Amino acid sequence: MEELHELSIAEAGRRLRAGTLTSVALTQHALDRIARIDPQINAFITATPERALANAQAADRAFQQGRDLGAFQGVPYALKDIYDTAGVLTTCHSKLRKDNVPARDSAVAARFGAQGAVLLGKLSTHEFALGGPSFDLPFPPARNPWNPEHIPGGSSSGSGAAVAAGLVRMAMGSDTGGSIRGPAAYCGTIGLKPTLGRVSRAGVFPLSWALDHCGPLAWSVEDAALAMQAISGFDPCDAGSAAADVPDFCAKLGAGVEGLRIGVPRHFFAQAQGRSPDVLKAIEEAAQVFAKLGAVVEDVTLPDFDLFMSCGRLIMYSEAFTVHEQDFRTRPLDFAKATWRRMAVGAFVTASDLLQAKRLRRELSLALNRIMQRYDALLTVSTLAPAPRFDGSPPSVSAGPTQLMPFNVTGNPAMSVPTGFSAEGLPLSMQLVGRLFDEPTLLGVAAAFERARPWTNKRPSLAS
Amino acid sequence: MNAGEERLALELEFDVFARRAQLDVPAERRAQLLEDFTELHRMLRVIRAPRTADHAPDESFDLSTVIRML
Repeated sequence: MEELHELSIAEAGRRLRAGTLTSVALTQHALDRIARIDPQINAFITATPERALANAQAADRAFQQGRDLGAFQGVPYALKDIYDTAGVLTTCHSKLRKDNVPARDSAVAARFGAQGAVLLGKLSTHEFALGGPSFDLPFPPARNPWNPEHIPGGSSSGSGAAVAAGLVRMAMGSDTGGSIRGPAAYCGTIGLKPTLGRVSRAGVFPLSWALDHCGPLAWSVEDAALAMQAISGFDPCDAGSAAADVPDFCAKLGAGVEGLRIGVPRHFFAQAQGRSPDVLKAIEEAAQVFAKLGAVVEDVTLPDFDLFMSCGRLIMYSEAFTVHEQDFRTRPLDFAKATWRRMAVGAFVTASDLLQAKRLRRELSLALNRIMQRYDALLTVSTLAPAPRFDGSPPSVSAGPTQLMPFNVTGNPAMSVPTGFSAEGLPLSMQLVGRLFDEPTLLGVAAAFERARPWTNKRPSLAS
Repeated sequence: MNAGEERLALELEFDVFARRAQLDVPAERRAQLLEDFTELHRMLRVIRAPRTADHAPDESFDLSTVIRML
């Protein structure tokens, strides 16, 4: 029997429009899977079955009336629980907001709503998209569907877990220092951090105004491209929104990579502490795949990796502390220990330190994008190793096993793309980076790899 | 300064900064936060470089972002 959750968003849309599938059937299938599988992985904080079925019925009525609102009409999706949703609990996975019910939708939720999408619910995150994984919060942390003893990554942990487990084809995350691409890498999904300013952050709880990005985690490159089409565009309510034209994000999905130039900054990862031979081997194999497909693949030297990491983390911790300063002083012990630890360090950053970091940020963005004038994409690692086990110790502020922050600093679009599996059966990944506001080329490069090395036919065993 | 004196100076600075920021640091969390403070010092050394007045930060106050939200 055909499994409805394996239908791509485009294929589901074709059947909905042809009348051979209803949104109610598609939605009920997803809700049944959530009820059956989610207790093992805690991806959802709040499922919204009644609202979802009402959304689905409305979408089906619209199809019957000949109204076509866009690719997501009648298609289920879910949101990280830092996106405001009118009338729906929005907790930021925190005791401090465990009863918060917003009056208005975030800009992204409003865009999906206007296109007739079906909201399945709100997904686990590291507390306020910063701490975690934590066991001292009102809600349990999400678990990795490939092996629930392993972390799913964060902070968009529920988004990665839900997509990998086949509970939803696309879920929204947010990415300040890698929080879309990290869980995508650990869970074996696509994770796209768009260009800074491409997607509105209005109504999304901030971690760092300077570095926050909203973007999709999805089961296929095409699913991610369709999500980008639904959510992109200028928004006057986000001071960081870019007045850039919205391209056709699917335009280059079939274009291939012949003649494209792909740079590989091996100095970022070749000697990095914590690197896994499996991940490095997968990167080399990916480079070979692109070369065989006709791309010019060559080494490239970027500014020192530690400059990007130190710059980004100083800005992030300083701004995170500023966002939460009042609660941090008046009720500090209501934060999870891991969140408290990461946030507290921001209190020690002086105004001069922060401005030096922001001056450096401009220098790094200029330097990288001058280099990017010679390349269509960069190929590097997302995470240095597959998903580790839960070990209960709170994370320190040290760099950790990811290489994602540099492109939050520069604002370039970047995505995590699955490359295979480790000997333990955990997903491996690579990171592809594009030119500013050129997500279509980036998605095209990822799609070429997806065709050459298909991964979407393998699901975690608990999801079958 | 030798390593011991450097450590004492760092701890003194940590305590002063924590007091200035009105941070109430529980005793059992002090060691971990001090470790993070040490890492913060390392990061600050990384980002410091000679810069001229021409090197502006990544953002400056842009009135258009205010006007468009009116």
